[in-house]
Amino acid sequence: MDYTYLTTQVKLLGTVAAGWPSASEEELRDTVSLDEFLIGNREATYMIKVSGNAMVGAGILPGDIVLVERGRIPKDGDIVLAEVDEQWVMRYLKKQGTKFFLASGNDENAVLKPIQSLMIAAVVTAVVRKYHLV
Amino acid sequence: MNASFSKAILHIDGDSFFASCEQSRNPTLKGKPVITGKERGIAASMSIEAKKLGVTRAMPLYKIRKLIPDVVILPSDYETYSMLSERLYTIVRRYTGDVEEYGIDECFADITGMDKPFHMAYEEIAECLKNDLYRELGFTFSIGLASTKTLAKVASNWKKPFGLTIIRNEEINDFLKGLPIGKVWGIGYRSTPKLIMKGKRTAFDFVSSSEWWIKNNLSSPFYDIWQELQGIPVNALQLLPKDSYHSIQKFKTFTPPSADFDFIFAQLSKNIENACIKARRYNLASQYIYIITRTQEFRHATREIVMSHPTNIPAEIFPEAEKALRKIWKPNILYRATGVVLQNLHPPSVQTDIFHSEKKFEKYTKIYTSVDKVATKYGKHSLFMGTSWRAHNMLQHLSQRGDIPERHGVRLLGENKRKRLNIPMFLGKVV
Repeated sequence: MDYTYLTTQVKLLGTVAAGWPSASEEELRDTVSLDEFLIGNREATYMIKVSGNAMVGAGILPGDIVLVERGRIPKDGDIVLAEVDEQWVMRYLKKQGTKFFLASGNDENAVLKPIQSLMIAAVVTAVVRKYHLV
Repeated sequence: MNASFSKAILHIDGDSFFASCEQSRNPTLKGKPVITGKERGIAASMSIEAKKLGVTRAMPLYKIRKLIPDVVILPSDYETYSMLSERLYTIVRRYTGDVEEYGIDECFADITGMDKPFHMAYEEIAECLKNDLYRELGFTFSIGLASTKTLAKVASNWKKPFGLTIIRNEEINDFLKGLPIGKVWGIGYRSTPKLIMKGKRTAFDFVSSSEWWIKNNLSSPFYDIWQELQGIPVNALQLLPKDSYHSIQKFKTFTPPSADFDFIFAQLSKNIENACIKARRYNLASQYIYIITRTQEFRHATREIVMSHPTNIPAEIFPEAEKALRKIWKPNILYRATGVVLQNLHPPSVQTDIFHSEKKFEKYTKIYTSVDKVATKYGKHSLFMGTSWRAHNMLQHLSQRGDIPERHGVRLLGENKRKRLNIPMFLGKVV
């Protein structure tokens, strides 16, 4: 399949669509912007640029922008952003019995450490990866 | 009617706001003495840890370094602070529509009557708000609850950080007895010694004075303060964000200082462009413009420019500004700052009987409408006058003061020098 063929096809689709009434505000009222789609509680949402490899297994690559929400109650299985020894640590939060653990995204059994007292700063709510400038 | 509160006014005050913004987004800064204001050479804000070690506001940085050798000193990132400030106002507005955005790190809120819809006492609303702010912004605020703005200010300052202080009408005097008169909002450093001379050492001394004494010895703002301190609301909340200005000022320091006329004029031109951008945003123009210079020795010179008509177009102001600067500039003297004030602002207009200037006015309006559109799309100062080139072409502060905020060094795909995503970014490595 070559590009010319594809372009022609797109054009044809446009022709078929002609004749429908133009987009009305009524119909577009229930659409949301990408901002609204990705962000729940705006006042509590922050972003962070990922630098480590720990969550590659979860699909979060170095260089990705991750949206996190402060103050959200973390649940078992959530990806969280914690503060450990003056560093941000992004891991799965796992619960076993009454204890919480941080687990790597690459090997779920590789547990970081059981949590004695740990500051969970925020819960990861979305990942943004951009491939082109615009 | 609640006897303890004539009105329920909250004052919400950030604890070490700028330094807290920095600490909350970067775990390497937690628990450490952190100062912001590197670009100014003085402490703009200091973390609680730095305060405990004796740092005060506006203390010169070299003194701070002597006091705390391992102190962290950061350049101000006003973009991030402003985003968090907007979030502060938005969170407070969950509880009431009546919010006065008093400063970047503080606001007043009138929650009178909100106890009913929320099914909470005023004290509980304040407590909820305090917790929301901590949970969602990641740093603490201190809140005061009282019947007036002046008392709410006393209350928010009573216990810091993360305090919630409530001053009920029946408890007012307990708070005012130990409070030095100079600590009262609205009583400045000039009036303080005068009031002390008259025997008003504490806020209680002041508030116990008779109405007759206050009216006969002091001006009317003091009468307002006297009433407010008794729990009688006088100062209404200013609810609307500022949407108009009487004057616009742009003043900027540069390092190293310079004796070069062209360079100093470029700095002045940049300030004029900045002031005009703001004036155009509010559709205002000025006919009476002041330029200011400051020398290395902190001597100031000013000169007024009277334009033929109110304008907000840099190209019209530059020739006059250059003449004015020549009048006050002296050779072989080092200058460290320039500034401009646009006075008596009104919507732009031109005398319609002068055909030539009307044409020119239209032309400039067209050009600058485009300049502003380009700026909206590509960032402020995407287009500027060649005159300002030498100011735009360098950092405002060479040397250490010129460090840029760390966030400005992180450029996401599609961000440029001027335009960044409008979500605050956490800093530091993610491992």
